[in-house]
Amino acid sequence: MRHTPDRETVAPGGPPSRQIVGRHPFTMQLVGHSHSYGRLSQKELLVGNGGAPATGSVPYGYVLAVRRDDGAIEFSAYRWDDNGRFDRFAVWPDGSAAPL
Amino acid sequence: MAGRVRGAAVAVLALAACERGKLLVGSARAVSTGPFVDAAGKMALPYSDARFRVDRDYLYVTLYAADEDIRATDRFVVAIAPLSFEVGPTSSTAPPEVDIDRDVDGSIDDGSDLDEEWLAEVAIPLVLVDTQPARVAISRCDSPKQGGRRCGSFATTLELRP
Repeated sequence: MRHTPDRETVAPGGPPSRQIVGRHPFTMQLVGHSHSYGRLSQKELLVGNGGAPATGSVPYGYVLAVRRDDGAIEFSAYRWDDNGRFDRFAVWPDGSAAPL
Repeated sequence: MAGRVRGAAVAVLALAACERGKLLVGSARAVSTGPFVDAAGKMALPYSDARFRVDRDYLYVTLYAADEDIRATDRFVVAIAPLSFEVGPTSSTAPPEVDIDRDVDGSIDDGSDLDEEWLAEVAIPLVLVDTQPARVAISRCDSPKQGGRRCGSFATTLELRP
């Protein structure tokens, strides 16, 4: 987990911390900075829609990540107002897509 | 100019004070509209708001736009009777007597990245507007990256107490 997405190169500390993260294996990088939600890449999930002024059309909300019995991690994104799920996907420990 | 207008934005933000449907605007603190709403009356996305402060000479209006993809063509439409003008991140149709200062957090006309916000601080000479009552309507439409056209607005009467 870190503050800025990989594509953000202007904010202080972004590129150096990306180099550190890149030296180690990980399943999913959770980022914020941008006040929205989205799958930025196969191994990067933006969860910046928790309350700061929303920059896009994605609703305010939160994400639950649950490790399943088969080892995959399942991510579900919910709206804050009615807890309705608006996105769901799963990945294997190496970050590759897993079936739901 | 920038120093005078910026004072409107850095003042401690008070919750909108309403009395008989009016927004009470004084000189000590800026008051906020709160989030703009969409046609259904729900909080509009992307987020927008406006803040007001007044002194003996000017009505200060700070327009805030959360925006993941800032475009030069983005606009607030501001109607403060009898004035009506548009304010964007780089340009405006306001009369020359209206001073505007801006701050843009992001890249204009570059869809490859994620922008954050832009705001404009507008100083309107009180001699240009009908101050009692001061009817105000502000709207903003935007095109988020997910597609579509999203609009939000706010309208009320300002009771100015310099």
